[in-house]
Amino acid sequence: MNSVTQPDRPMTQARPRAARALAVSLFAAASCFAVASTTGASTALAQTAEMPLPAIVQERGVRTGEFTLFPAFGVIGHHDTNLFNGNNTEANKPVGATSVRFAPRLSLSNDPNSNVAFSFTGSGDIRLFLSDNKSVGEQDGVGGGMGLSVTFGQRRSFSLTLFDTFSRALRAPNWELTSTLDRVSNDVGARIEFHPGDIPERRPFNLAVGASWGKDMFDFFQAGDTTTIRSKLTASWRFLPKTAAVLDATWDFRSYDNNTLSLQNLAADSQPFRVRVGVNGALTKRITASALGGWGLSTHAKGASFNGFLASAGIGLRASESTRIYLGYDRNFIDSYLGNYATFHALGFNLKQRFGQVMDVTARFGTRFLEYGSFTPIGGLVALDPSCNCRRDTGLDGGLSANFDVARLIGLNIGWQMRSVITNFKVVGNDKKTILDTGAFTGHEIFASVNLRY
Amino acid sequence: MQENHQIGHAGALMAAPVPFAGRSVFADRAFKSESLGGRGVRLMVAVAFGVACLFVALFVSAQEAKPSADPAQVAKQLEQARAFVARMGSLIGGAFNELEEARKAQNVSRVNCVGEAVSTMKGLLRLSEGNLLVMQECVSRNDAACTNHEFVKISIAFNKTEELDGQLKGCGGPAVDGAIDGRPVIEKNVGDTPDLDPTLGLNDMSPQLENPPSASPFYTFTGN
Repeated sequence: MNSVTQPDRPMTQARPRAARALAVSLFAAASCFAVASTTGASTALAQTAEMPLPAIVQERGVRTGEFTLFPAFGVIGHHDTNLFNGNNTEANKPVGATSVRFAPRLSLSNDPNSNVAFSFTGSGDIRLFLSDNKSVGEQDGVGGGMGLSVTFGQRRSFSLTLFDTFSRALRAPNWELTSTLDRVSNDVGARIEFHPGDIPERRPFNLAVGASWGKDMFDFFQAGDTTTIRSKLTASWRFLPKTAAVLDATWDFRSYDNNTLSLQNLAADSQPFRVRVGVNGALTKRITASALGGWGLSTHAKGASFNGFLASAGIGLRASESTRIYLGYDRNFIDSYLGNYATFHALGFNLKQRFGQVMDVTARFGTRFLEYGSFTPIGGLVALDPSCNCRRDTGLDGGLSANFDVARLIGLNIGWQMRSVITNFKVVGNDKKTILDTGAFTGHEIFASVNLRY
Repeated sequence: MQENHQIGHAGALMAAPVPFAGRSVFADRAFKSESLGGRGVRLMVAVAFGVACLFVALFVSAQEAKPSADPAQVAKQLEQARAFVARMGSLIGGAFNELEEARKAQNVSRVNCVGEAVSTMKGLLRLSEGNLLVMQECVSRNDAACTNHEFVKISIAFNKTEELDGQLKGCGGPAVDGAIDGRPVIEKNVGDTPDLDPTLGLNDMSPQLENPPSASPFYTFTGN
């Protein structure tokens, strides 16, 4: 959605089980409540024990030979109280916007444990804003995503996975403008895995090496267009059936397609490297925990670079068969269009409660303390903390969502979420006094949807 | 004369012909000598037969002789047999769960398929329990052969039960509970074990697309 403190996440690939769950149960959440884990982007491991799907949902899907098809279609009513992240103390006042969104979705997969595993998920995000405001009206758009994955030799010691991840993300700018921050990104890559053992349940070791080539292009903000080559090495050892020691190392090669930001001393090409090791899994039958530590280097060609430790820890509780609670911490860094990078400490809390096998309520809250890399203000238009010549943000995100499975084919979703940023960063006028943009803002979103799923 | 001649001719190679009651003495001797040779052969055959019988008896005796029991080996076999029977019991418990699920799903073909396997498994378990009792009795008699015999029977029943357990997991088609190649796939945890894959998401290479932060000067680039 429109959260400032969270990155956009394209549709994940190569997870048929998760994709199926998403398709049949959290369809509305995926399209409307899709902000990722509040603990930040790097915490990608499973957090708590999965909650089985409601009985009414389990029989969905259309079997066509070896494949199962999950079609769905959602109609969403959505209202954002502050579409352009404005503030009453600046010229960019908050502008509310109501929209109708259509979200078709289609998942197709075969048995994930067959020797050739195929998974495809595609979704659409069509937004029509109901407003006379021209800037708001220009935010109409067609977005969506697609994830495709084919794994050869899934049941053999060596497997090869080819994948492609495409997304068309819709996002309003941080100022009331007729332009957008809509973007298109596509990643295509391959992964080779070595996992000795005959069946997945008897494969304690897994070693994977993958690489991808990605392109990210904005409709209007061409200065932010990038090309990235990603490489990833992971290893895991399940020393207990539900607990694993993991190694996760990534090395990216990211370059801007033009040097506009570099010339402005805002962002430069980089080769971010991250490595983390730790354990993840079940401590007891009811408690899960994860603890990972490592090191990261942003390695920017120009300007500030991050060089520091990475850490994440979390604890999940299966309080009952219908209750899941998770509390997590994450320390990492992200690439930024301002100051090269931003390092953050993030805290997140999630609660999922099921009522009567027909309603799932999800509550989440997260906060992130970001510190951007130091940089030289451009043209004297920005105000920075003189102690570090950097920008510091405190981001808050939270939300509450309820999903009703009214019948086998129909579900309802209703929710609220908020986003807020407090920052020391300001854009000032040439007189150094007039505040053009205070940086801080708060926005609330409410939404309701009707979802048809087969 | 003709007769003598004939006789003499007949015994010419042995001796001169002697008239006696129409028969030659030499001819009688020859007859006696022939009778003595046949008896020797018969005697030798009898002796050989007796010796052969003795050998056979020895062999049979050797086969039937009770070997000395190794207490450690016997105890090990008994322990293994108990484990086999216990494992068979647990497999049948799982099979009953499968049957119950199939009934809940109202999948008639699966119910039939699982039911057949369960019936056979029950019979095998009953037999093995009886064999285990006999085996314990053999152990108490320190009878290694009997112990081994019962152990083999229990082992065969156990192997068959495991085979049936694999078959019933494939009941209802490969996409339900078994992989296409027949090897079982564990999709559901029975009991209180958390359904958690600790490596889920580890290999995910989805890009993290950061957004331009608020209050950024980027709006100046948008041309509006």
